[in-house]
Amino acid sequence: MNKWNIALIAAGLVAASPAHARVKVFACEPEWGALTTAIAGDQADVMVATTALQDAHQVQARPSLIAGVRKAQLVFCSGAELEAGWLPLLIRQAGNDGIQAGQPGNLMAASYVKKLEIPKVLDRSQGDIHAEGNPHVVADPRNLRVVARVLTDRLKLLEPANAGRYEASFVAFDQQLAARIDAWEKEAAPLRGVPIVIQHNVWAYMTNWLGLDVVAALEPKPGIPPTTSHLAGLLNKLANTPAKAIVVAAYEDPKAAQWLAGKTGLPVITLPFTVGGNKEAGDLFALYDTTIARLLQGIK
Amino acid sequence: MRMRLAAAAVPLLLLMTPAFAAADELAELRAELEQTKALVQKLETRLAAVEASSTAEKPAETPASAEAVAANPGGSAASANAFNPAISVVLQGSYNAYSRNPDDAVISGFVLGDEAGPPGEGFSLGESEVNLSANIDTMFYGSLTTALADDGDGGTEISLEEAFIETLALPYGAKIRAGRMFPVLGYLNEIHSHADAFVDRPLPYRAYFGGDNYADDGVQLSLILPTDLYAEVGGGAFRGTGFPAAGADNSGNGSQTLFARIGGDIGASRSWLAGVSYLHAKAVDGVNGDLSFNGVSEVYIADGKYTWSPNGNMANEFLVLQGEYFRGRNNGKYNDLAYNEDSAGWYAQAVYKFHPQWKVGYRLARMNAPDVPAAFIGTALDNDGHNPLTQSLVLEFDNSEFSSLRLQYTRDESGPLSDNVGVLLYTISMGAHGAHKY
Repeated sequence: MNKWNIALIAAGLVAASPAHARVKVFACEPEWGALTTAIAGDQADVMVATTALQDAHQVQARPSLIAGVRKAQLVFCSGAELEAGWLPLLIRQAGNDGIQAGQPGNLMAASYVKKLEIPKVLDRSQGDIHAEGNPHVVADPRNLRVVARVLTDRLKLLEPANAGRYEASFVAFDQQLAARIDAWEKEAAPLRGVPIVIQHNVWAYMTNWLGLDVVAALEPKPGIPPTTSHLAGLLNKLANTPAKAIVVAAYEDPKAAQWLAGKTGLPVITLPFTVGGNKEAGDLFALYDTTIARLLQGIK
Repeated sequence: MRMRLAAAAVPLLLLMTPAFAAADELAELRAELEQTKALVQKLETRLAAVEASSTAEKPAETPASAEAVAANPGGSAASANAFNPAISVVLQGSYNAYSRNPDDAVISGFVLGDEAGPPGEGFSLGESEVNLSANIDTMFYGSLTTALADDGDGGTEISLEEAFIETLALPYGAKIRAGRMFPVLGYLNEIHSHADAFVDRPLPYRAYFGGDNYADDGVQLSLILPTDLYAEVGGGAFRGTGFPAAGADNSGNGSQTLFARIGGDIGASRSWLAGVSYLHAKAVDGVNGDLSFNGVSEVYIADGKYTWSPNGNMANEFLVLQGEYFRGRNNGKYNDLAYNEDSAGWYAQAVYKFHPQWKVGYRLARMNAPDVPAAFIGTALDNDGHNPLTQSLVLEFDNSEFSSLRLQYTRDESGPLSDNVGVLLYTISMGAHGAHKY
């Protein structure tokens, strides 16, 4: 057996095993990065454009994002105009043909979810509204089951060699998520009908799922920061329709919420909103665990 | 030879031949079971999806109507309009107050293009800009930007700012843009001035590009390299009609550009961009004021930008530091007198957003023209021992990202006599959402 034979045997063995190419994913928000990791594990090289402490509306198409999109095989974002200020520019600037709109490498999660708050009147005098409806779909974990299915199919299309692994991961993830959703719904039963004040309505899918009642918003109109006159008006409103808590996301400036809390005695509940928004929200399951725990704790 | 072939065949044969027939059947059954399990999972997920969508219909607060309303009220008209380009309109208007006559404004030591001067005293409409852009097909994107301005004689001047097509799907991070454009040069050239932090362009742009931008007709190729750090290189070839080029020399290929830029993040809260670029422009009878230039203008630019925001969240607070350094070289003849002129200029600015709707900014700009030979004393090239300097302070209020109101004070020492300039400027955009360029 000379070295040529050994080399040929080795080559044959290598050729017999499937190629393990890691699919490069550019996720706009942490929830989609976390979902990709849940399905693809170490078979995906994930870059996340924003963190839970950043307002996704206000992102700029900065150099690191251009480089990330250029290399990506899959761009995985919310869509529904959440990233309208920066994603189209990134996709155009990136010089990457696989991720243009309509291609398999372009996945907008909100397209697959039944959307809430589709505006009846589309006019900027109503604030910075989203024409297709509320894009913040991560707020309801049931939406994740739908998006995870689509993501799995898309990953299989982009990297067929790993199809079996993706499917197996999805099956395990979906089983676990279904069970946890049942548990969360039972745990969150005391939240049904509880009135709350929010800052910006990233919570539409969550309040719809858990039956929370949004009685007021700190923003006078979507995208317009809280004004002193509007906040003063809220005091009157809350006297008539009282709330039990003020809910803000980790990335929002808490000053207005704290002012209102000072005047009304209401507790301010800071929720992570997405993965990484607080110490506990390390992954998708922990995100809803800590969200429900904090809500329950806050209304006590 | 035969030994080698046999050795190669062994691993292949191992794969193809099952050990026992019975194990074969068992494997088949196992595979079927796995398939059935997968099918059950798929059905479960679909059921969950149906449940999720039906529960999402519960009218918790807002009645989410099944008919997605609003954008296109017309029935059959909707299909004809469905592929319309994105349309956006930018309107600007200002009130300008000077302590001296703005018509006399000069930049000492520099020959200016037509558009380098400031707007007149009092109310001024400025340019109204209309942009239409869309993906054309699988290969191309197109954009048209026209500017409408008062021509000063009671008429309207309509000018073509940009009209280009751009590739969408070239491999290797490549992109080609062709047509009328603001080529990549320095940091600000490809940006339309209404998007600036200040109400006017800094001195070096007015001196070297004769106005807000160097614009020309041609083609630009750029390549984003497959590196982890953003790195882009590119260049263009143009007709050579926009200042400082003139006369479309070299059979309509009178100017060329080159650029390279890199950028990245430092942690979550900081990001940066740095670039170098070069313009080589031939001028044939470039007439400006009382001087006619025939020769070559070269401009070298180094630019840098640094952004900080808390945790990288740009919504409530950020600081942007940005600046550019220019070197200019004009080799040729002014009015048939040979003169090789080297000049320099730079600007540096800081913009601080201290509230979701408020920004404050400070900019310093300086130009440096060399001492001229005796033949040019008294002409526009003669800086008379004075190096132009401007300092600007701006306060900006943005009700939303679609409207802004800016109040700017400039101490303007670009000419021999200094001027105090106050400007109140509104800038709004309607229509399609603009892009947050870095």
